[in-house]
Amino acid sequence: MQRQKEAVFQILNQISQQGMDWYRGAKLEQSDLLRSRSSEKYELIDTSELWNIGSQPSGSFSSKKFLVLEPHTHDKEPFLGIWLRWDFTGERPEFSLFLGFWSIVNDEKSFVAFRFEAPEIGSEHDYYHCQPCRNFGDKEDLPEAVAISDRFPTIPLNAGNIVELTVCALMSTLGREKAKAFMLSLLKDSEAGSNEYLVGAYNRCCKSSYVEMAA
Amino acid sequence: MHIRVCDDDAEMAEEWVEEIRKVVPDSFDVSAIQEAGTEITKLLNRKSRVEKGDAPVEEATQFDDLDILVVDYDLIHLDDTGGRTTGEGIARLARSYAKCGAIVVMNQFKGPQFDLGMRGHLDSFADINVDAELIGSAPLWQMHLPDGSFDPTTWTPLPDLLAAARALSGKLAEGGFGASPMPHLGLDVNAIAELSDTAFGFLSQTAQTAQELAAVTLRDFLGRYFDRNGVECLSQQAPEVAFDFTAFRLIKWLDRAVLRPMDVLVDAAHLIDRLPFLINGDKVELADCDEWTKAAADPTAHLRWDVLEQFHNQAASEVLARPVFDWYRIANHGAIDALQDDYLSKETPSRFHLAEDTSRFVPSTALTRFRADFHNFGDRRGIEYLQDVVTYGPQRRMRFG
Repeated sequence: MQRQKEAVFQILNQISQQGMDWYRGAKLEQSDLLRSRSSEKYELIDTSELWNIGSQPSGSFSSKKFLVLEPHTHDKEPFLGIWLRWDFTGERPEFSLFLGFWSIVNDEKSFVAFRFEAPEIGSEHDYYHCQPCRNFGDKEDLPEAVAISDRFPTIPLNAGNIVELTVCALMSTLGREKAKAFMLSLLKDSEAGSNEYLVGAYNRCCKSSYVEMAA
Repeated sequence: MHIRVCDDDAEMAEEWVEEIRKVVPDSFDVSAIQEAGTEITKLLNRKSRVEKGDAPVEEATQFDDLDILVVDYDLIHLDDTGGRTTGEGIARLARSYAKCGAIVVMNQFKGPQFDLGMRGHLDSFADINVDAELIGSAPLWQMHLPDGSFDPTTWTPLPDLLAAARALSGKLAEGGFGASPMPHLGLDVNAIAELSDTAFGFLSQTAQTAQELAAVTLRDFLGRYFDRNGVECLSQQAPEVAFDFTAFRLIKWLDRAVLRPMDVLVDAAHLIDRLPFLINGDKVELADCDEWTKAAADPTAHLRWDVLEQFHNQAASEVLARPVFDWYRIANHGAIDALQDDYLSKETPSRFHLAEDTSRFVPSTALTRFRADFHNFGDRRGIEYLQDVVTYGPQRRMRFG
């Protein structure tokens, strides 16, 4: 799992660098961007902290910290983050990536999250999947969370490992073409470019248009 | 080639002279500066004259004739009255008030011999800062194909650095003090827009935009180091000194703040470390890592020059004494992406990685990863980790790697 974990954190590192660039720029126009667009209790994880956290075989982000992503959406006052929990010490790897999204809907701040997860023990959700949720990793519902089920539906994903799962999560925020550009940029790094899981995720998830492939 | 070692301890100076003689051609004239204290006092006199607006270079000093100056950081006693200065102080005086060539300061930064941060002490007036034990390293003095000995990617052989700086000084002189140096460094507005904040701030503390930085003149740049009278005095009464000063400082900036982080420029070795599909497989045996090293040393012959020529930055290559390319254009170019996409789709052959401490390509199993201090894309680098030969640090950078 080590190579897969390295690959995931290389993706997150790139997300973090781009996200912080966006955040610093946006903050010039609105100094309290984090507070006003997300919730008061949260802080952002910086890149150095990310590498420290990622060196552990199991762990999670602090319950009140997340990675910021540049939001590519036309929604009003969008704010997008990732929260992560993993445990590779057991027989089956556990991996949950939470994608949390704040925006203004019908003049009210709203929050919705999706957790992207590795297959679970048992026959019901033993596949790479995504589920909606009302919290951002710490099991405490956010007051502005949209009132939706936090386990239905359990959507199957085009992933066969946690790296592809992470790329699916990324692609859900960027669309395929931008996800492809993101991965090509990441794979221009010497170490990332030689990680077989990153190369595999690129080829499987975002390399080609599925419309063109169908034709 | 006149190389002089400056120290008030004659015995110590001779030891370093011998170390250098072992690795330079016999034609190089290497010796210790005689009466170092007296010569340094002459530089101090020049400084004083510049501050008064007097002609600074009327009194001759040996520093004007040096091609390479090697000086230890330890305090040098100038006279019997207690006057003394450091190697960095001498470097600053020689760079500011003499037509001195390349300057090496030894032992200024105590600690590891290979700094994993890789930033390279931009603020020091030395062109290279090294541990004294490394002064006799051949790659510091001569270009050669990497062979696995300690040969950091960050070293430019001193004679090559000297030639590049003198050539740049000549070009700057043609444009005068009212011109921008940027065209001679190969940086247009688009490239400048990609510079880090650190790189930006070194050239000007007032420029806010890429356009403003592109318009910074030599006179403006000199104003970062001298007051208005000093700039006027040097530019009018010792212009060659001022052009040399600017050339050496700008080369150090371009190397440390622009090339090393690789946001804007990239050299051939780091380029194929990132994009191995740019090696010409028809001319290079891709399964042999030594062939990769040779390819990096001769990019026009062994890389996909048909693709790369448009990204080759001739001006920056001349200044940095090695072929360099516009990374900021390569990184976002459709033709490069198409080649990369094709490469990633195939069953790829062996891939090797550049070791920053030996300048050669090795398998990933021979590499120790670390994180350089650039906080950017690509700050994860590798070393062969010759821990029996040199020291490395800070060690925490390997943990981050």
